[in-house]
Amino acid sequence: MNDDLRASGVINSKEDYYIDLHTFLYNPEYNKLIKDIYGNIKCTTNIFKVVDYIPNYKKYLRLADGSTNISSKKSKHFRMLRYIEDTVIPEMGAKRSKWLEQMRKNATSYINRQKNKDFLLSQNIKLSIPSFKIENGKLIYLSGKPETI
Amino acid sequence: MGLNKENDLKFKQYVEFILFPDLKKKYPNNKFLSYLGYRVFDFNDDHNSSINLSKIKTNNMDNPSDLAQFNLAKLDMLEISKKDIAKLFYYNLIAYNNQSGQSSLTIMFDDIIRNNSVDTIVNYNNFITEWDK
Repeated sequence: MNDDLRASGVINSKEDYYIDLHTFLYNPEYNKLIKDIYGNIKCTTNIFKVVDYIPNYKKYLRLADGSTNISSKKSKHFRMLRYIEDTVIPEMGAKRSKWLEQMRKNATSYINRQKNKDFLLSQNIKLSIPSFKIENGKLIYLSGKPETI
Repeated sequence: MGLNKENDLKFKQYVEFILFPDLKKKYPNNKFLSYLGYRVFDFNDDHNSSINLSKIKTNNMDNPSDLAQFNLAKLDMLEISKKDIAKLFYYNLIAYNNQSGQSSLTIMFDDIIRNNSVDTIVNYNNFITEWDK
């Protein structure tokens, strides 16, 4: 089921048997679909129907959904970070918490570098500097025209 | 700048070996500039530095003597021409990724950011706001 929903862009969840909480709370068609499917396999109460029956419960869930997803929705930085965490880091096989922490730091650093690089490129900065080279930690001026970097 | 590593390295060398000494000559009484050297605020080398910027920022903000030094450094920064501040800002982006740290200049731009007094830094903040949507 999730394959079709992913393909049609209804949900973002990468897991086959997970329910996309955000879509469940805000998309009426997906909400009905989940309630119907669970209604067929339930033993006692359909807990997904309860969410709609009790307004406070639904608001709590919306609050929880908002507090966990707001950074990603409002910030490209967090979206990139989440993408790297979800795709790149697992492929590198990092499992120990120390490695994961270090990889997250590296990912943040990479995103900041990218951001700064985009800024520098957007400014199209051209700077004329004297012609020089550094040899053994010493500055040596070279004859010739100034360089443009 | 920002196009390739060679240019960025050249710019970094230009700032450390040419701009810093020039600024020191231009503003001989500027305390902030007196701390600048090859590898800014590097306490492993002997550059007579005594301000640990990251420590002041994170741990010792309530220490009056450190705070006084910190403020003095920031005020001194504002004496430098806007064009040179822009170069220092680009340098900080390229060399230190505009991150806070013991060696980076990031903390020095705090007041300038608050005052919106240097166009380059205003442009940067506007760019980041748009980029991060």
